[in-house]
Amino acid sequence: MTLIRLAVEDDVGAIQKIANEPRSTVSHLGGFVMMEPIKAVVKSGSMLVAVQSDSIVGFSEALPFGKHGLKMSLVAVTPDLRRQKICTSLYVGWGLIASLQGRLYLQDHIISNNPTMPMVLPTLGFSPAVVLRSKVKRHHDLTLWYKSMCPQTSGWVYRVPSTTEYHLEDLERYHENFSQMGQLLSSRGRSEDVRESLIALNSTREYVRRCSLEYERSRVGGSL
Amino acid sequence: MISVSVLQKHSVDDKYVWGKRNGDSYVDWPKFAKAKIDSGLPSIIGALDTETGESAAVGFHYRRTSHSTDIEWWGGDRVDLVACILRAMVWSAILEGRKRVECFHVTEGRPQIDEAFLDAGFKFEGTHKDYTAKLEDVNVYGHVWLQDGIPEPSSNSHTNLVYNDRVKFYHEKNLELYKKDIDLHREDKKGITFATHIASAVGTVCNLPRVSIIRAPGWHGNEKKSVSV
Repeated sequence: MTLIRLAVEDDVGAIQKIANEPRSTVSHLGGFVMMEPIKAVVKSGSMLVAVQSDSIVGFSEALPFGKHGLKMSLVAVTPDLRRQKICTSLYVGWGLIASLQGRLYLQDHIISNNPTMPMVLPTLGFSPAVVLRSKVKRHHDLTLWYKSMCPQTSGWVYRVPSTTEYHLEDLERYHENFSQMGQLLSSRGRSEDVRESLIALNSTREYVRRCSLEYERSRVGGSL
Repeated sequence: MISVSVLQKHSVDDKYVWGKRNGDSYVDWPKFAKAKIDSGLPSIIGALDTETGESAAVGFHYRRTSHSTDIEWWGGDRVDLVACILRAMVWSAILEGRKRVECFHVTEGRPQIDEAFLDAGFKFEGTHKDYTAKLEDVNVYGHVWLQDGIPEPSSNSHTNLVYNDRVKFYHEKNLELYKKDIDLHREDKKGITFATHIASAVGTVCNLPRVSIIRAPGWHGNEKKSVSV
């Protein structure tokens, strides 16, 4: 079973170890990842981890892009466990959080020397929006990938393996962002998007509640 | 005749420019422009049609990275004027040792000047929906002079560029950073390093027809802020 949850301070060491895995990961993440930035990201609630048998096997960082977007950042999975849809599960986790926050889209930025993510992202509903030519130091292009959350494309939830469970909470600050986004959309005359966000919110809340219940049930041996 | 020059403090006071920006009427823009100009680097470039008195302006937004710079539209809706400015911005970026100029141009509440980017040799790189905090879409234009070539000045314009100590300081700093990047420091298939490409591009810009380079140590009475190289 794979559990997806927000990272806590105790996870920082394991996250850093995966990020700096020397065989392949470190070069795609743009170099050695220091511990202090990971701590800061974990503290701000912007890091999800994948856990198997009490061990961290993957992580994904996503930073707020204003109130309206979520910018995907570092993501890595233990080399031995790749191609088991752990990254997919992590990204779907961010999709659920984005819905709870009323965000309109997820954005990812991929350097052209990364062979993996351009194959993963279309399966999750991302499409390339902008190709910034020669944007990074080594003359490589940087592609901005975009996935709309409005209308909610819930189909990607079914790409998550049945052995994955989410333990996410519907936090107060998510509610705040959701209501501010509602006001912003209304002020822009986008009532249809407000309606879609509410539909997404309700279905996501239900999904998150169900996943959390299943998680609690598995933890206490089915006695709930 | 179109006169293109780096905006200086007195230009703002002289109302050489155009009042408030379209779509951003809340901005006290002359005050904002003065603060930006005070940075010591060429910040806003203006173009004036000396016959009609029409004008336009585009500014550098930030220079956080060593290799690229982001620009933003400030005012004016005449495509030919904006195109002249955009060419000047590419030349200015070359003098600073940068390889890319980009603009995330908001499509809403702004004049239709997209054609100016294409005229100046920029390439359309895509559209991003709901990009800004106000949920405005942007069209992204980029210019990479190594791929797209150095733009030629238009026949009816004259441009004054600034190559002061601040610009030279950034040029040197950027070359130092490139040296740490193995791919840029390494010779390409023709045996040329990126530093050589930049030196050659700076030479080309300095020798463009109808382009004057002002080589003042500092500028607009701001010499104390100049940095020696």
